[in-house]
Amino acid sequence: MAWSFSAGTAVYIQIARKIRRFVISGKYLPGEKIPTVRQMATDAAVNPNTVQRAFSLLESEGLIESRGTLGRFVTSDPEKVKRAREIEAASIALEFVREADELKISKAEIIKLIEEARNEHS
Amino acid sequence: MSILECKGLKKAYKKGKYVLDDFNLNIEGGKIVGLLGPNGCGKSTLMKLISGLLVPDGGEILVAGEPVGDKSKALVSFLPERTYFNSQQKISELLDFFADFYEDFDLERANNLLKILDIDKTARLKTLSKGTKEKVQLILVMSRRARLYLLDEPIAGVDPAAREYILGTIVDNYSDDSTIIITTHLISDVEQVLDDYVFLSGDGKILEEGSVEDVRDKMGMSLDERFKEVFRYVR
Amino acid sequence: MLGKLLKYDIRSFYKLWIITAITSLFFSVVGGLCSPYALDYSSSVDQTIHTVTLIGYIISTLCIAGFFALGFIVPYYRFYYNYYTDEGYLTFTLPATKHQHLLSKLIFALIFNLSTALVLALDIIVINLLSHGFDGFGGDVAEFNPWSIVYGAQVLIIVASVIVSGVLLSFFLISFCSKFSKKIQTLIGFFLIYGLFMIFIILVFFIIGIGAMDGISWSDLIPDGAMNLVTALLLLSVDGACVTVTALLYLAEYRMLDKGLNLA
Repeated sequence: MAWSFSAGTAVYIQIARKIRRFVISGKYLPGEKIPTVRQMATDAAVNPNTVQRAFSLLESEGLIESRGTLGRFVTSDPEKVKRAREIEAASIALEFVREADELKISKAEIIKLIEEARNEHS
Repeated sequence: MSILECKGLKKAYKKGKYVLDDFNLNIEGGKIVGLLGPNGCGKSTLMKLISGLLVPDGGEILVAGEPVGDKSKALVSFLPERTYFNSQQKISELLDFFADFYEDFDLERANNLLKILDIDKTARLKTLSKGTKEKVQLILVMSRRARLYLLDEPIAGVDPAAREYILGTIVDNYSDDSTIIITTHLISDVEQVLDDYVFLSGDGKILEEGSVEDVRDKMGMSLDERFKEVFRYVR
Repeated sequence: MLGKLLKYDIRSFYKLWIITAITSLFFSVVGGLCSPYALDYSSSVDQTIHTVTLIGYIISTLCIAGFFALGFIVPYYRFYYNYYTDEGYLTFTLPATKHQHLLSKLIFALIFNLSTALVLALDIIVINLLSHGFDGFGGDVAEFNPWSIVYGAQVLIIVASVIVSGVLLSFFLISFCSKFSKKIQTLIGFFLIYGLFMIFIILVFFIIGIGAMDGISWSDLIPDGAMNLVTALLLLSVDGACVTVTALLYLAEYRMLDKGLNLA
């Protein structure tokens, strides 16, 4: 199923984010082999160079490891996965705060809104 | 090594009306490039010139260093907007034809793709719907291991599911020493597949070119948005 | 590449051609058997037999004419189709040179035009045999005159050149008319002019067919003593002219094809 991307951000960053989420959510398990650049590019209908860039980014974060001809694997280091969670959480928070800022919502209001949303969600 | 070089290319359909005027383009191997612009800006014309269907009025074209001729045609795989078969033939006959004339034709791949799309090889082309004919043509073109693929509106009249499949097939044909040039109006569907883009102006020259990632990084917009900005109609 | 192009050209037509050739022979037998009664308007023939055989003769003639039309028209139709319709997108992107394309179509047209003419001659011979009975063939065996070989060779060159020119001219006219991009215009145009030319070619074979039976031998065509160096040189120059015309037509058609696809 082809992936779709939003206009504002670079595609490779969005791909990296998607893969980070796969790891965090457990869709890709620690130590598991991930699809090759080609496989992912074909499935997602994305340029292989872009996928390559995303992989490079994640490799620099240590979330995935390249083992040469064997392929690429998710890290088995739980610290790295935790770090990835932190990165994602931070970027969600940043986006939220940016939008809240545009609407001139105060810090106190933000905390109240989050608690209400949490209650509604569960 | 550039796969495609156009130097001072000129082509006019009517006297004085140049569709391509002193046109220069240089594309390397291992790229998927979008050739974009409004209707009539010369995208199809350029592809027909590269594939040898039309003859330029001036300038030259080199495909992997070869001028346009029988040698370059062996390197180029062209998918035109219209279907070009003799409808009396069966698909299997067409496959044999391609395998016979093109050394780089991958018969196994073609058979696989036909099977995946559930197309019967023994069917005669005239019995197929327009959409299926287009898919067959795409399969034939993409089953060649060519150095340069020219795809003229490959997803234009096609349903969303098939569109996705075709884009995936295009990506699957990617390799370091082959290049794929795509013309399309459906930029938002195609842009994630592209490395680079070329905007053609209406008067025969390149208006803008660059990498798609740069448009997002540096201009902060998608290629689709950039296109609309550049080619905006003013009321 | 030339071999491959030719292979596919021939494959596209040979089965149909063989069927129509055999059919035409069958109908020439029918026509031949019918003709003594069909063409006898005297009262010595029973009226019903006369009518039936007349119909049979007419149908036979039409079928033979149909075979002839097919064999002469199909190669040109295929030429038009391969280059001047959407199929041109496929043809012009094949990894072959324009020379290979043109030669392939030329050889293809010659093979089927000549074969059709030969079968047609055979048909005519069969009809004549069956209607007039076996009167005996050929004339006296000519005295062997060494010049008649030279003469024969010259005539052959001229005839071959004319035939090839005819094919090339037809191609040229198709290419030329296609610029006007009206399908009907093209077809009418090439049928008309092409038809005139082909009639001439048929006459050549017709004469051979008739000539073989009425006992005209080659030696009758050469006046005694006239065959000498001067005549030979004259014929050589005619040869030269014919071959030059053929070559020019080839180049002209090559240039036409070299201009690329004709896109409306």
